[in-house]
Amino acid sequence: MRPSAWLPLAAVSALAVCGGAIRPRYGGTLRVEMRAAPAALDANTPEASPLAALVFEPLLRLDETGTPQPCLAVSWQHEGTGKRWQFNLRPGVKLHDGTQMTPGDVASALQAALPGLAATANGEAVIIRAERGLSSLLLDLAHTRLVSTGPFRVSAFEPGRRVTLAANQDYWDGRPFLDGIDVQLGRPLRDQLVDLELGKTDFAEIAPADLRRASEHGRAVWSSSPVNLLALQFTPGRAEDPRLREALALAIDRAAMHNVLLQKQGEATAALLPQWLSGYAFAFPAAQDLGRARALAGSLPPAARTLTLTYDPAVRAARSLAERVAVNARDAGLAVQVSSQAAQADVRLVEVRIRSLDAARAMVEVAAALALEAPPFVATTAALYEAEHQLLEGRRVIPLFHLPDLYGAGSRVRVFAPPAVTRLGYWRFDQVWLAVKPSGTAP
Amino acid sequence: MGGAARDLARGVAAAVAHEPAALSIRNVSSLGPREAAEIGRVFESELKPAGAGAAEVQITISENPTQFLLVAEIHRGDERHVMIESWPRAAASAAGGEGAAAQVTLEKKLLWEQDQPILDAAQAGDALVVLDAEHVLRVRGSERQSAPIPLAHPWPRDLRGRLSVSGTAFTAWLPGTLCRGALEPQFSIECRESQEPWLIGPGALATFATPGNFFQGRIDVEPGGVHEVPPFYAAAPAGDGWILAGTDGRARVYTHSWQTAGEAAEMGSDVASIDTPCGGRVIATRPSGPQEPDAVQPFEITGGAARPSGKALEFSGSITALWSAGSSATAVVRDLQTGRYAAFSLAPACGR
Repeated sequence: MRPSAWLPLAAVSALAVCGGAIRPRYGGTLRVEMRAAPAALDANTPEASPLAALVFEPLLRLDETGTPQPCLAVSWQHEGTGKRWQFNLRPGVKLHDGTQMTPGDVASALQAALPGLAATANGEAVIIRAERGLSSLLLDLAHTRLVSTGPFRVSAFEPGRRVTLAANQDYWDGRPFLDGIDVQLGRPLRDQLVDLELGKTDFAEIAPADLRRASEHGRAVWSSSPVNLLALQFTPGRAEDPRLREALALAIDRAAMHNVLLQKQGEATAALLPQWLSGYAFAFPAAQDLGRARALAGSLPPAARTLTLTYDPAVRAARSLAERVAVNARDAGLAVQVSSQAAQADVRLVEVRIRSLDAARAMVEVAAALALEAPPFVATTAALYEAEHQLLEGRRVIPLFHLPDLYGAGSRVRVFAPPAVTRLGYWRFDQVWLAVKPSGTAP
Repeated sequence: MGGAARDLARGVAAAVAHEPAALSIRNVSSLGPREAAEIGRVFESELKPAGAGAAEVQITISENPTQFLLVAEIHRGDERHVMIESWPRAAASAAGGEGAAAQVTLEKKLLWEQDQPILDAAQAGDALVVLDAEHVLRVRGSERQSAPIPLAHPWPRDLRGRLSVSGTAFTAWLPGTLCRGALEPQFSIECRESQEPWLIGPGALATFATPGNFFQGRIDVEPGGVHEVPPFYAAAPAGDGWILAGTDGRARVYTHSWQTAGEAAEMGSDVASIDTPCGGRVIATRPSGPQEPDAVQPFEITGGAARPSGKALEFSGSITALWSAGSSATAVVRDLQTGRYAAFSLAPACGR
């Protein structure tokens, strides 16, 4: 499963990269639209995550390979028994209220965000005592935003409607190029695309089906790695005969859905973790096997060959995917009824987001989101494969696709140091600048 | 790589009970054909070839963010077995290009290379002086001395700095900071917060925007005085006029009386003047496309227009600084593959 469908998008994304010989311009306000409509802008609320990552910062970050890198902590060392760690804080960092960040601020925020830890201030450092291994601790710290020291500060917030961010003039890693960001919340995808085309927004989320339309007239398309798992999840206590679950799994023609409904974005998969993160996703066969599906369905009593399938309308292309699953199932001799309202459905189409660059941690999080048994936190890739294999063995979950986040950027948007969207889908608007638009050009 | 391949090949051989197996190998990783062939040879030496009916072994060379993987899928009848070995990733290498023909040829000479961004570099007799965000470094033979630049405030993004050496004294301008120092007899430096204008060309001063990566719209030229111009990234004398690379993406040619004489469409954000044996020239970065290596192009400015007057000098990375140094210029390049910074002296040769 070489990610060939991924390559055309990567080529489109490259258009957003600015050549090194044109210097970035300071100034301007980036206009952004997003579907989510968070009611609060907290540091670690998943719905507000892309915005919160511009405002709040963690002690350390993971680079694109998942290796911890300094952020608010410049270095860290472990002392004594291996359960006491010292994180030396970056000097001279200011909070958005203009006051100096202190080790006490960081310790308090840590204590609140990760109650299992004991964090205390000690000189210019924070001491953490924890009953866990260092790699697990570093991952927790990298995923926990603590204090408002980021490149942008919140200057106005209307819950669910609008967020206005202003450049942090004192940002420790250099003031961002943009003066500010104006974010409209709760905008449907269709409206975002129209606004992008009319030049009313600089940055919009786009659906896979709108990819070509969004990239016309010099607009660039940016994407994350495929971080959204679309899967069928069986309801506990329903569809208990394993032959029924296996028949449905083998009946699905992922390739056709991928080509037509998803415009070849992301990857068809039978694995929980995406290929780019695990390296072995192709070892879970995703091809349709209609012959075996029919044989399995035929071995079931007729009354046991029916299923109700529901979906969350917020999941991209959910309805058309669900209906296509029903068509495939019918070909195998199963009767699948599709409804977005069925509270007692046998199986539902769900979307789960990958939130970690550490494959083992991502597996634990995905398993939890899909109500699968918690896998062990393993150290080797071979052991990770075995753990994933066991999780999927009962076919309580049927993975279908891994999809990226897709964004359209207006023609005046440039990036100083790509990428503007990280692998996990975070926005690096601190690296974005706005070109002066030549008169007479398309938006 | 070799160890992982051998371990997996032996594991696979044991899994097929050392019976003949039909082997196929595919590569979905960023490893090249040479490495893939090497892996193939390891498996071929461990597994006996077989025809139809034997076990099928599919080896896939794959990768994830931290490792390369070898995944063996063993099919025997309805049975299917997967084995995995892995090893940490390592780095790779890259290339360059060519430009068009003309009268002035630029030759580059590597002055200095380091991991941290270089802002400017200058020759001072037998010594080299290098300016970066944290130090001024003096290199003479194997002797290196560095003087720290105190950080009074966070540096802006796309940090720029200018170094000027005169005899044994040097001046370094950084955004909001001015440093003066001596190279001899004692290497010393003294820095202070300052908004004093930077020396951007012979007898020309301009005030740098703080925070920012550009000069405010005033240029003080000797003789002639202060002139109001749009904010610009770089300026260079061109004939009896000037050329300025504006923050609006336009490079404008000005007459000696600071009237706009024209625009130069083919220039990037950095321009510098250079004295060549066939007269003064302007050199400029080109407005590079996506992921393209940068190049420096010589131009002749006549009648308000900029015409290429030589072959473009190509680099294997992004040019992050370009400053005039009289009969030469200094270019700093960030390598696209390694991320390291290199300062080059650009020397012109005339005609052919």
